[in-house]
Amino acid sequence: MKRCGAILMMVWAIGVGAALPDRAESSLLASDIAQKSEDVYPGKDQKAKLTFTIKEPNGAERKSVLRRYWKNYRDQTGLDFKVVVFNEYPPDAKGSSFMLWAYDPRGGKPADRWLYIPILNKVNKLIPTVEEAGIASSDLNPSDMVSRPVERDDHKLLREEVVGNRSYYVIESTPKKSEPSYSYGKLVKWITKDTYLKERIDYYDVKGKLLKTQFTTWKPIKDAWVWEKVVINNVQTGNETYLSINDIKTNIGLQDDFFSERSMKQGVDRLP
Amino acid sequence: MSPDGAGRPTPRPAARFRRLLAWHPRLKARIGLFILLAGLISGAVMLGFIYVIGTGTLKSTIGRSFQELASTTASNVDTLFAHHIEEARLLASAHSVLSLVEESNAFYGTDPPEDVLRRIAEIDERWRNAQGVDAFSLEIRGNRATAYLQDFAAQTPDPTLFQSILVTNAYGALVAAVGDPRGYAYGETAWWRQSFHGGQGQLFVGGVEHDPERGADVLVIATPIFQGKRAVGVLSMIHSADLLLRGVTSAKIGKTDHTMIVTQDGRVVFCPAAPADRHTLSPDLIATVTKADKGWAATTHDAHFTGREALNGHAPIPMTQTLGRENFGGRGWYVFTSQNPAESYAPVYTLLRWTAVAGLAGTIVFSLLGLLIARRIVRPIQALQTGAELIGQGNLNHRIEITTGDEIEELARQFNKMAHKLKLFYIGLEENVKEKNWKLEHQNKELSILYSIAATLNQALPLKDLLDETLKKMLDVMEADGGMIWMAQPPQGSSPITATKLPALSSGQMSSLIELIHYISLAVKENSEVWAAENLAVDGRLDHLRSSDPGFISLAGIPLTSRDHVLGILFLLYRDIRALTSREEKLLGSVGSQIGVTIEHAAQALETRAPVPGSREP
Repeated sequence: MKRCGAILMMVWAIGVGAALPDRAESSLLASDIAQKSEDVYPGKDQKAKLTFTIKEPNGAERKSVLRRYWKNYRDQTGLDFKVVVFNEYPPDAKGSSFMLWAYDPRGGKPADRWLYIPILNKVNKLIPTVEEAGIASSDLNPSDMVSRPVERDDHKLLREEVVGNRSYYVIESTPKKSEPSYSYGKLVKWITKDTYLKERIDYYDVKGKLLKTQFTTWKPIKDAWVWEKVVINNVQTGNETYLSINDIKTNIGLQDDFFSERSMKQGVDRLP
Repeated sequence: MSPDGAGRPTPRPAARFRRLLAWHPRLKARIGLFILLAGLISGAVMLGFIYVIGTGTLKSTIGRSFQELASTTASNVDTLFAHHIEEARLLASAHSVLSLVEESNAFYGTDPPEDVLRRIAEIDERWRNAQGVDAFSLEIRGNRATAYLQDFAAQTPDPTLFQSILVTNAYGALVAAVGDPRGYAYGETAWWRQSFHGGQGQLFVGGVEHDPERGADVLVIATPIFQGKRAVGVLSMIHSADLLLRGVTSAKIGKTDHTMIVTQDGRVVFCPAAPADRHTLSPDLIATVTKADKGWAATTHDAHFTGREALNGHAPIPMTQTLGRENFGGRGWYVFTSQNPAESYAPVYTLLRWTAVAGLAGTIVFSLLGLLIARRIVRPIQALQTGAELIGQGNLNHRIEITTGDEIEELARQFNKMAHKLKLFYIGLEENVKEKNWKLEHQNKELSILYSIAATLNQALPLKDLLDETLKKMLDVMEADGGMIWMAQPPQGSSPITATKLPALSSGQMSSLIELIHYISLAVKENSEVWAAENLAVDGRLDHLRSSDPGFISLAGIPLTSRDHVLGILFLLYRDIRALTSREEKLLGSVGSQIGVTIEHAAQALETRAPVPGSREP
């Protein structure tokens, strides 16, 4: 079960850097704001270490450490991005890896996914119908970290809000139509007015009830913005998920052939 | 003129003083005054002694109490710091803290230190300037180390004691926190640098500093978090200085006292009575209370009661002297006490008050006692004086009755003895005088008798007349009731009784008298001595003659002799008892001789003039 959770965690972890490059104009519609928040530049490629800490209401903690390599292909030959993730912790999951190639969401082509399990010494390609689920009871889903086409939702500027000394647009995004692969009824996002970073997202279930709240601290690396710290509170279960992303490197020149079954088998110790 | 307008001159002080000096009080008043004065002087000396010694002793006792209070407080502060240091060390060694600090350090991976520090500074800046949506903050608030620290803080008796408890990693970035962390980066703070100490790690106890963000004075105890011998982070406990030190400085021995903590240079670290920055200590007080040894002193520079002598106990806080100079603000701390002098000296004032009351009561008692003693002393003296006066006035029968059993009684006894002797002497003297007077009177009487008899005998009278005159004179001088002269050789034919001076007698009496006279005349003629009978009725010599009453009771027969011949007898007769003294008998004998001589001369003269037989009378 833990191994399965680690694999699924890799699946949703791949979208962390997905964003669009342009900067905002002065007077914007809600959809424009939403679009700009999706267009925040993540860099050409990234490598980073992801540490998940899942804290249950009874105080029990679980921890998972992943090493992620990501390359941006947006606007290139129908691809969106490629990512390969290696498990480092817990020990029973160490060595396993996962790879995903995401295509332009506007094309509607489902992503290709591969899973490597060391004990089998074999890379398996997963069928596209695998359902999205949180890893090891965490409250981060892959879709939470993957860029979602703005046009799939209706966006509404609820208000502008100042928290501390920071100003935010508060945007409500509701799916235009029901999607089996999308489990939320709506999202309310706090987007910084100056950098269009989504620093808080309230997730509501399909019944309109608050499900969880996600807080994100972004880190600027050169001209890119990447996640550095994420905290998710599931108000329905009481679970708390802490994600620390460190050892982040951007624009390191990852080659296309890096994202291959061979790399998955080689493991993180032999990667750059 | 006097200012009273009455025209009377007002006595000048000198005159009044002279008048006072001239005042001679009575012995009782003098003794009373002396006892009172002696009592007052000795009482004043005693009270002064009691006051000086008592005040000194009380001050010393109170001062030592304050010294012990300061010493105990210093020891308590020491214990308090030791306790919280140990507490910090225990927290720093907790697995949840240590593991999280290690994870935090590992978070930076292979990032260059300058990049790590820059990122920490960015997060800190955002944290401090915009406490908005921040996952770092949320993570810190929710992680296991924070939960552990929160549990710890919640279990302390007063959770508000901790302004915050901060756990930082090896870069000074916040890892866990209790309270309200105001920032994310603490690598530049003094407590972090001192405690981390370049990875070597050392204990750090800060001074009491004002935290403007919290608006309160805080005291930091920071201890390194060790992994092996290497410091990997720092745990800092930021205490409310007020809550931390108020409890330990709240020990009191009175109502208005409190203990204060002051640094070696005189800065007040903590005062439970007033904000520390409102105190300005005088250099003298600083020098007094910042000595290396505990003690106490009376100063006039108390922090709260300047200008009044106050008692200050003081003692150094040992830990502040032994930890490195980087601790406790770089200065040693000292505890000293302050108390309202009115309360400190209350026992002294009470002693003084009661001493005064005792002095007043003693004065009254001394006065009464003085009067009583004076009365007891003076009363016998007064009795002595009165007795002496009475004795002096001649009342030698007066006796002074004093039973004091002392010298005065002895003196009275001597006075009585003296009076007795005086009385005896006076009686003897009186007797002598009486005797002398009596003798003189008798001598005069004798002389008078002799003179009268002599004068009578010297008259140139016929014998008969002479004898009558002589008998008359004798009766006068001897106060006899009657008399007669019996002649031994009366003229022929004449009765022997020549002269008589007799009261009226009965014939029987006369007869008896004559018989008696004859009988006695013969006896006297035979003996030539005065014959005296005090009481004829009982005189044994006359027993055979006692036939009837002669009319007289006493009788004296005086021989009239001349040349040893009894010429006659002169009888003196008394109707009452008359006893002749020997002197009278001698006198009468002498007179009888004189009369006898005169009778003989008269007889001889008569014979001379008688005519020779045959011759004629012219």
